[in-house]
Amino acid sequence: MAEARALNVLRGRSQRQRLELSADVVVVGSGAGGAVVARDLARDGRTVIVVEEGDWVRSAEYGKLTPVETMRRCWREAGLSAAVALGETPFISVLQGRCVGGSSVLTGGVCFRIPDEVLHHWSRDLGLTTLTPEGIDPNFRAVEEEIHVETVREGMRSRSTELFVEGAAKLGISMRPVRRNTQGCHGESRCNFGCPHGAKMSVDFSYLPDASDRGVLIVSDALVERIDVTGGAARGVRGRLLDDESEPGTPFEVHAKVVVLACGSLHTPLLLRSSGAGSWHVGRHMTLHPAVRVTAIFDDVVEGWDGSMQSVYSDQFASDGITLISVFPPPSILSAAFPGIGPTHRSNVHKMPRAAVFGAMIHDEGGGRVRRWLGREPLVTYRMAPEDRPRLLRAMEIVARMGFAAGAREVAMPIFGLDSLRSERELDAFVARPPEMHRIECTAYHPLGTARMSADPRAGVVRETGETWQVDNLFVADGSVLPTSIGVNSQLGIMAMADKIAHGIARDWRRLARRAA
Amino acid sequence: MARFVLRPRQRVVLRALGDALFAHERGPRPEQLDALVDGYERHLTPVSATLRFGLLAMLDLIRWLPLLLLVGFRPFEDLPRERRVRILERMECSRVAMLLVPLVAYKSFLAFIFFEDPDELRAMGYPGDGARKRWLKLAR
Repeated sequence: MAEARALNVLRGRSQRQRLELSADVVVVGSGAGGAVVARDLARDGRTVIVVEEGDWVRSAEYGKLTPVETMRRCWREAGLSAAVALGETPFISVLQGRCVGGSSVLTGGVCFRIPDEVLHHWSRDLGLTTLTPEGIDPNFRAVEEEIHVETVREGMRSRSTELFVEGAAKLGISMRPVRRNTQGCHGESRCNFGCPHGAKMSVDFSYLPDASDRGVLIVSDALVERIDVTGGAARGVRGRLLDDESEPGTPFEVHAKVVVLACGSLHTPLLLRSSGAGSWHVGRHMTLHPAVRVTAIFDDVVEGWDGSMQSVYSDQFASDGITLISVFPPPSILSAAFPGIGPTHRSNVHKMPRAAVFGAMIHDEGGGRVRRWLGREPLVTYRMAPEDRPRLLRAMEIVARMGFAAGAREVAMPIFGLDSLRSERELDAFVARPPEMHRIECTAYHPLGTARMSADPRAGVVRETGETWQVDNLFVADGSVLPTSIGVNSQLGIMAMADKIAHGIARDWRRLARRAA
Repeated sequence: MARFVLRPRQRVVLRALGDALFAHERGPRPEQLDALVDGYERHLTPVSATLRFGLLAMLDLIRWLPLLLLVGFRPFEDLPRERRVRILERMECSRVAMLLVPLVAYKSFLAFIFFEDPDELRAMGYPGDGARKRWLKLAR
């Protein structure tokens, strides 16, 4: 295992006394956005405190935890959260990290730049003039170097991925190798549950150790409940430390000249609303990149767990809003995807060594909303846009056809209660009479856009600098600022945006500090 | 605050649910069902009270499903295994979201926990975590 560098963490759950701290900048959230901002501003000479709601799971522990144990300790709501489906909408699990390192610990490591056509739309149509491909290129470069973005070698493709490529080739679909933030991947195919070899350069292996070296303090188990706003400017945050059972107890507060929210698209809107920075747009416009996977069963042994979890993709259908991507989750997780109950389910699960998994996700139009309701977790609703429904069905059809083209004997669709399809003719019938949307099972790892960036205060929540339109010295630097969905995995895009926002804060520091004084 | 604990009745229903979901000729063994119920209980500990309430309400719905579907006059856990399997099959194929969602919520997570059992992983042909052939080949 790669040697993990030390993190400067104060575990909130060990604190028994009220905690009061001060710094130039307080960052709420230690994931892809927060870690970048914290490190960049510390490098610029600022004192920084990061407060993280989740637990600190030391990287050496990742390999000792089973996938379910990781979900319990590192995933928000222990991986059980889902969007409430409104209207004709599939069942969508919405998954996010809640630990030191945030969702970066739980990604498949896939790194895409925000596509040029999306940036052109933002810069030309939405008036976000600095968000051109050239404008954000330096930020992408900086992040890519820091987290060691590399192309997955062909030899690390699992047999499942090879079949994905073979099926695509037979249908004339081109595939490209994926880039991931890894260094020395062993191909154990369980990246979503913390890399057991420390090969995935999540922020707890890259930005946070560097931030710690520069004096940044990370307070874990710290639930921020309010942003202190005085005279129209943010002055810090306050909340309660969580105990071993995740229950809030001891109060804490952090005084700071600048507050940066980076707690993700589900929680940033709640904090904004509870702190008087809530315009009409807060919590709205959420996109999810709903993703589906089909499980194709072959005659020969596949052992899809041997190789990189994700290693190729296709953007051939990008203009239709569809990205195809190879994936293979750990067997215990994949077991739930097989149809049937009791003996039927077991017999399907025992086909696992001959199974390949083909994935796809859609570049959705939005329709999600986050709002506060009972308790501290948000109510997430999602109404799939009418144009996204055929897109999702088409994505399923493409990957299922790729399965048969690769020689699969049967293909299990992500449809509850549907037996595996055994021929292309059955697939044709499926396409001719698609199932009700609520029987489709989707997963979403990329909630975006709930505090979107805009060129006009009437159109969004934050300025191009990341500062909120309504409260001075309050910035947002996570996926919630992305103005639209991007159609590809969002980790790298969020990190580049955070890097850009951090550089803006650094450049503007004197003015921000004067305003805080 | 103490760790979240399922009520005895909830444990019984969950056990009966696991027994049906993962039924096969020789199992599941009682100790597997114990581990399943304990694992799920542990899993609910860090979950928000709201979501936990929703999940346990779904368990109650499953408990009284035989009556709601007019297929029996006894709660789910008192039915023979074959009938429980049939009820769950009906839920999985249901076009009614209210019947489908509880099944999905429980089948997924109970499967995650159940199939982490090393015996189950071996039985499905998984060699376990550790060295991978493709990586070893490249590393040589």
